[in-house]
Amino acid sequence: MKKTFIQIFIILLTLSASNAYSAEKCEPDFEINKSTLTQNNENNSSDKGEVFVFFDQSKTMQGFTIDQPGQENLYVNIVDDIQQISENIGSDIIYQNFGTDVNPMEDRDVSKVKTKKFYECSGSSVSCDNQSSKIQEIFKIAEDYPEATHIVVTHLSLQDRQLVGSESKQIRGPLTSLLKQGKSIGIIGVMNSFNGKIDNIPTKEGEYTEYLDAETRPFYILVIGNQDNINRIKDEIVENHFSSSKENFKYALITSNPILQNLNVNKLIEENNMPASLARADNFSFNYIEDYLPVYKFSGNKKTKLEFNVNTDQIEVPGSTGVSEFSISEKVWTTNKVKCKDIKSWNEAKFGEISTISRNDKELTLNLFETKPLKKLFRGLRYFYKVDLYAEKPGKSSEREFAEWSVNSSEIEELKETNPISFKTLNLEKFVSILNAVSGDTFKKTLIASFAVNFELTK
Amino acid sequence: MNMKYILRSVVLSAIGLALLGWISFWFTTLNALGPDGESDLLQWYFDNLVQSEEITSSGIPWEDLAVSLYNLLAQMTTALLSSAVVAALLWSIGSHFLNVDAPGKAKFYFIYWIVFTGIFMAIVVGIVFWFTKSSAFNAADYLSGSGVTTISIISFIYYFLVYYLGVLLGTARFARSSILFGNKIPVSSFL
Repeated sequence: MKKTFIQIFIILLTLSASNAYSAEKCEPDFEINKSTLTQNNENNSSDKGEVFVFFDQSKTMQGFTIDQPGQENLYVNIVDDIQQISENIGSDIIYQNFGTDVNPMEDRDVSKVKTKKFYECSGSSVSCDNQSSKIQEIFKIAEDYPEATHIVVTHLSLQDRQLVGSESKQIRGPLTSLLKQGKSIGIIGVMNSFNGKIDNIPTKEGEYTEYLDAETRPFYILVIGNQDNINRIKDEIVENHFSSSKENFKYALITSNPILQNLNVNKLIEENNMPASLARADNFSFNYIEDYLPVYKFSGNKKTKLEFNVNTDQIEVPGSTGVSEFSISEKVWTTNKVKCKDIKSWNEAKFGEISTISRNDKELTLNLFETKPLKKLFRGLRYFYKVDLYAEKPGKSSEREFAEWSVNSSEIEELKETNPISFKTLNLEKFVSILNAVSGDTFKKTLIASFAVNFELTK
Repeated sequence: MNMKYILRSVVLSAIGLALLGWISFWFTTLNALGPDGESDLLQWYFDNLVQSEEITSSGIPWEDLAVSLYNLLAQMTTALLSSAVVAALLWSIGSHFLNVDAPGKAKFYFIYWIVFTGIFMAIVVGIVFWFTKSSAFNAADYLSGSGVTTISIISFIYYFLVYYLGVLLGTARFARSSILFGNKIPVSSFL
């Protein structure tokens, strides 16, 4: 009999304990916005695909093959590297040259790319002078073969007409299609020795002129394909030639999504994203709800400093346009029962704008409760504040990166008259700006991180 | 010193305190019982004493939040009424021990009274400040600026009157001239 009573007592005790636990509502009911963004949103197949390598065969490229005394010539070595990397990342390598047309290359011609002879023009002097490189043709090919990696070696000087109207559309259209398919475009710029003729320089009279005194001039390697391959090519070139100094090296990545990852998916939000002083607050704890949403729980006062810091390296794809505008979606729930076991329900507050965002080169900071400061909140209540951080607009860092090597058609004649040793690339900034604009059009608002703070406001 | 006169003063002072003090007692009881969703008082507090917009935006029903404000007001009025009662009785008893034997003694009695009253009023100010402006009570956060002003003005006037009636009736007859208008009340000679 005694044993039965003890058993009943234990059962009742267990039931009451479980009821008490189930009634506890330490956080309000809300839906967690789970991101589908992973480390890299491209289809990273381990299969090697085709690699198309395009060499700009316009006559002006000759200048990169001829050594210029006192200047370092990396062109020949980098062309070598590209051929080698292409063999490594691709199963089939298709070499083509381009100028006014795109033509397939024989294998035996590939080694000639490093020589002056490859760029000699066999046509009439009229057709050989002021050749323009039809880069738009390559974008079209890239659109037709989206799974392949496309590598383009070119001087990238583009005439105004190539960047407006129908010719511009021939760049934008394929590019939009590629970016929508999750592909990216890497632009690697190398300031190299140059000993040749820079032609196709537009004058204010509408004619073209040339310049012969340049000792250095940048050439570019455009890589269209998966970010992994782009980074691999970039890393190899940096490692081989620019490990000590990147003075003559520039890089930008144009991608539909410059967001590297969602911090919740990879559980990268930690205690130390908040000020260290918070961890010393009374009743502090840090836990993930549903293995996804991190919650900082503590007892705070009106002077508690609440800042959420994230390294931009963790959220922006390195070398990409970055993010120029972030936004937050925020919600607050309140209850006048500060102990979790007493909370029966939460009330959704309507505080309007609560926090602000600020950023510098390295860090993104969410200044929590800056617009609606803690000192204006009521003490003795428990608050649950949930924030979703979004990337709203892509940045323009790649334009800035290349601005130094770019010259507009209206300024190039004046530049020439100053007899520069180092010549700039015509309309480079405009070209990058077009790529950025297309990436901006294909950009979708992206959830970067979500977190919550659950605190009791005390004296 | 005749204890009879002192007891008489205490009784008269208590009567004087009760003339208005019952309102405070009633008000304290109302607040101690807590808010009733249907009451006009709850609505009056919402309309006149608290930051109604902030309270609405917090999402918590006012009736739930008001519990702690009712508690604050109950404790504050208890403290204020107690202070008024203690001060009035102290003066009423103490007035029997005043012994000024000099020309213009009424003036000296008045100086004693005004200093004592000043101390009492300072205590009233301190109590109101402690409850409404310090961090001692969370519910003080709900009060608006105009709400604190309203509470302060009502408290200063009302508890002065409670105290005043207590000392007016309870002060020893020979020292009654010390009280403001003490000799001008019609029933003064009967007390």
